Amino acid sequence: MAKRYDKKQQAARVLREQRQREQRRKQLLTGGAIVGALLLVLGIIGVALYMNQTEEVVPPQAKHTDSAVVLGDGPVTVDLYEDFMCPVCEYFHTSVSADLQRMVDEGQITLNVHPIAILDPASNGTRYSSRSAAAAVCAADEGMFSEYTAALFTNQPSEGSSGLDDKRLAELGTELGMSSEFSSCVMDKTYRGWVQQATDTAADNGVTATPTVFVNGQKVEVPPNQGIDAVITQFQNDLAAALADAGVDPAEENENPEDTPAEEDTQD
Amino acid sequence: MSKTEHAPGTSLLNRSTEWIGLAARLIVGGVWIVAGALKVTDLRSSVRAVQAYELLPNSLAEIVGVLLPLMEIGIGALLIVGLATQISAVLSSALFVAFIVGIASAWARGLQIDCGCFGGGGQLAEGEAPEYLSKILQDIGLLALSGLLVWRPVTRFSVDHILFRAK
Repeated sequence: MAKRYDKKQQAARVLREQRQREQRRKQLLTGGAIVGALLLVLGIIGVALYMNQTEEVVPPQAKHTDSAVVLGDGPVTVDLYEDFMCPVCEYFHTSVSADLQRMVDEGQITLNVHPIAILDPASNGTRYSSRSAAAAVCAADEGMFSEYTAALFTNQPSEGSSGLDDKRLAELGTELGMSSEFSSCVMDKTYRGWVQQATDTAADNGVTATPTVFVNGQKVEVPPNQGIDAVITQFQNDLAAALADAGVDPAEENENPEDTPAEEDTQD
Repeated sequence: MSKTEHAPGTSLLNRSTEWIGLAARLIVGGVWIVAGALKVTDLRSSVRAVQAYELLPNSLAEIVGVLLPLMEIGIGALLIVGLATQISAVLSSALFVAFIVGIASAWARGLQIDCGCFGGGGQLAEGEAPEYLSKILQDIGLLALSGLLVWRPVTRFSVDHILFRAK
């Protein structure tokens, strides 16, 4: 009698386990269908959002490439990628801008400045990087790109803050003597789309950190963790070499031949 | 007939596991939703972040960058309410493995994966290595919680329990 009872128990258990297995499989299939449908819907929403976040591209009137404002016209090409919220860019600007401006003025280099907005997430949603970069392009249209970007760096807000508002960005231009066309350009957000495109293009070309600088298409690089001063030194060396190759004598216009490039900035 | 529902659930170990599972769902789900929500308003930043890893060609990076924030929100929501828990936990685990591998690879190649200011200056450079490490450790922890949910997908207060209650 014990055996028959055991067999009944065993049969019941097998049936129970079978039902559990079927239930688990049904659960997995239903779950999979739900997750699949959800991910599909989210994917469609994502694409729609992406398209919605795309801004209209208006090309600048000033001389430009697809991602840079072009200053000067010299045999050596310098590409500078900068974000106006980036403190290291401000440091870089303070260190080299006087020299670069001189080289532009004397026809030694073509300076392509790429005003990109990789730090947009770092301004509490106000996207200061995009706004300031677009304003700088407005300034380029008025022929005052260098002056305006210098003002942007002088008045640079802290990374992570909301940055300067559009009114203040327009004001900085007015203080430099720019017309109301500049202010309208800033307030109308005219070049936001172009800045977005420039930032995307930069990222496609591998530039997602600032400042990044190229001499004649070659990126100025130093081994990791060596800091911005090492980059600046390398940049100056690469630039001097390129100028020499192009037959430009960098020593010609130095008023004081003893000056090293880093000490030439005598703005204060 | 004995109520079979009690048989698997009555042991103290199983019941604590169900509570721990709930905690895991809420923690991991919460992390996913916050991560996705932060990126969804600026999908281009998300694309750039993927490009910074230099692991995918630009076209694929764009697809991943656009879809990822939404997927994160989706997986997070599923985990928090406890719907399709095991499948969501598998997806969550897979994503964490991908992130850990990606970060480790970027670290090994000396890449800067936080889009932003060049790591200039001694202080920033010194802080760089621990940042990679802490990210990886964080993700390992979250991977462990996700793995727990794959192993023990039955948890307290889940929609799964309402939909698929054992008869």
